Amino acid sequence: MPIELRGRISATQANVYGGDEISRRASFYATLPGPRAISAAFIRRNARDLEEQGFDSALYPVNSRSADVWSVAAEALSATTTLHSISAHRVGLQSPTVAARAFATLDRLSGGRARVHLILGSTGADQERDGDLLSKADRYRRALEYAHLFRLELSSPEPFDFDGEFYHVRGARSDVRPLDLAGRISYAGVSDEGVELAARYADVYAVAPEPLRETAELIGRVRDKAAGYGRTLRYWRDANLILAAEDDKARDLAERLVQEVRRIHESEEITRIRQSIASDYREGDSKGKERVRELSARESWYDKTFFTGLTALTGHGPSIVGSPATAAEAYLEYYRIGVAINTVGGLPILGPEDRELQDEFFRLVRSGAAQIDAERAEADLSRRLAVSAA
Amino acid sequence: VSIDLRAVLTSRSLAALADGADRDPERLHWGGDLSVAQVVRAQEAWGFDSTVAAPPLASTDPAVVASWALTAARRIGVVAVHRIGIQQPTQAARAFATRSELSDGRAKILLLSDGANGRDVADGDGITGEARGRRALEYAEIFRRELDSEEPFDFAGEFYQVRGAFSGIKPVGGVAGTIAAGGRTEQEIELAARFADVYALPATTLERTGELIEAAQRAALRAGRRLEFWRAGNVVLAETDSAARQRAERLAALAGPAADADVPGEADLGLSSDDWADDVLFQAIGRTAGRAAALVGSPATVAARIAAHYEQGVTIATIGGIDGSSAEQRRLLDALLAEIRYRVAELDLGASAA
Repeated sequence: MPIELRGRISATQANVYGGDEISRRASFYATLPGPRAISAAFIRRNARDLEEQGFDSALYPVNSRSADVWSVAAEALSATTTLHSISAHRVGLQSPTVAARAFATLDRLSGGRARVHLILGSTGADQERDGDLLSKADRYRRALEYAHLFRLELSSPEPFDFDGEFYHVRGARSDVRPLDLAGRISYAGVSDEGVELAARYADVYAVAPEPLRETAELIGRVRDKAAGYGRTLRYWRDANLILAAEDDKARDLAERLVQEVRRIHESEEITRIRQSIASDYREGDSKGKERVRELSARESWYDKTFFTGLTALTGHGPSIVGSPATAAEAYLEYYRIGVAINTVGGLPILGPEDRELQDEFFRLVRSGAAQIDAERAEADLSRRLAVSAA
Repeated sequence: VSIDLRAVLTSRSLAALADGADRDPERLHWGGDLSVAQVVRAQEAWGFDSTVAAPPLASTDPAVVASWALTAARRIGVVAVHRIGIQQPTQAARAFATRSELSDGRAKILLLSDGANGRDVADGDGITGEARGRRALEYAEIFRRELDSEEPFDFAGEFYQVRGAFSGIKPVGGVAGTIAAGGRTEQEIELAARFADVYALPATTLERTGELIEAAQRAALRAGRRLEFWRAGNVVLAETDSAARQRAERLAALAGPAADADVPGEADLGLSSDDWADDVLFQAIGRTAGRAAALVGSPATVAARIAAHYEQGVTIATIGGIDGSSAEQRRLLDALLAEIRYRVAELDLGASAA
């Protein structure tokens, strides 16, 4: 399967602080949640731009203050023809059978382009705003039941009953199914419970955005667990990219972004807003986030292309930094260890030069991935020939 | 005042979204072989003001269908039918507000508190009996506060507890006029009176409609509020009244027995066991096909009846069951909508002259 390049979709125009170029670039990282107006025209343009730029899919992230995921996804999908839309869906706020049908309805309406990313909800406070007062341990156990029912609703040929700790259903059955359930459901979570859920019910596992070695270990862990259930998953890595014509320039840009975000955050008004939302923002209580936070506390740079300098400051995950060739090679390293889906976030197109850099990066990643696929196919073929010769 | 003429967004296209659609061909009866986007655009072109995405067909999700329909049209309003109890009210409210913002205020919602054919237990909702009514009241209160409140709020009830709930996304133009609720129990009427803007009436006789309007408006006045009224129902049209009656009898026979009998208790609706009531209200079609009773007649006859309901206070009328796929039905529908609007304008003029 070819490499999948994924963007992120937004329902609101990002606030821009200041008019110069670095401020505009930093605005992506400094963006603050708040009651900005959502706009259908913006979502539609955003989705069309991503499709036109060559993205295969786009994620819409959520929390308790976000616009409704299915509506945003419907807007994005109805404006495009090939782009897949990944709706992050918070587990536990809706009956899982109902949520499953909402997802299936959207998948059918869009000709099979809907995907769903199940999430636990990043903070307790976020869940309480929506009336979910369970402890984290309880939320994990509930998520297992939820994912089980979500999947069963979309696959069971017969009406089914279920009696769990959190859910009881009688005679559940859906007439509406996704065009194909394979590859539709993703999940992230590095705790044992998270890996267990993904291994049993997800098709795609979202790795924490860590350096190569840690990522390979995590993939190994999930792969073993999934194999125990006779399942094979695909892997998705969500990261930002900071591109410039040369490596030095890209690294310099990364450092300038840090300074600019710091400057933006120092303004009085923003300090006030940030204090009021700090809990959502940099203190997500998942283990994956904790690991990335530790990483960023230790070093800003790992192996020259992996930058965590913006993480503590903004709550964003790490970035890959470099020229198109260097960045493409860094992405391909992950592709080699099994990351087939890559988010390429944080790439504002402010002018033709940005677009050229991005096009170049996409071209190099895609051709590199195709070459890796060809080498694998060839190795596979020689192995089989060797076996049959023996 | 004017009247909101409402279509029903159930169509073959919705059923076609389901794998199992073939098992139940009579469900495909209305709408033609069109996509959801095509159906809603057609309804807009035919002159409807709004359309309602109803839940029972093929278990498609009404909110998602509503979202999709809103993206496909420019002017028409889309009502999503929302069952209470299968989602957190704050989240459902934000979903509704999102549809409103994305559609520039064309989204509306109907809150349903009664259970529907075992769907609730199938979706893990085990609350039954008296408790359902109490829960529905809490749900509607939180739903409305999430949309209204300018400040984060807490709520501690028997069924729901929220802390610091707040939505930055609000319906365009405010909540007023967007939330409908129906039902004839005391608790359902109380819910509509306190938390809804529109009371949804079943397809029933003039007399019973008048009684229900009075009961709901009295309850609303006690809460210091006023309600609008929305009458559900189908129509069967032909050139003449007798041709329409023949057509209705034929449709009832074709439709066969109820597959998905969502028809509420008939005694409760003031309907008799006769097939016909009030000359133009055909009940047999509901009894056999699980659909609301139909107003049957020439465009002039049906328009006169809807105008009579308008005089009672009905400002939203569903014109369901319309098959716009034939040229003849299109022409009759055009005539009906024009005739209703003409009569309503006349009544408004008369009222302002008096």
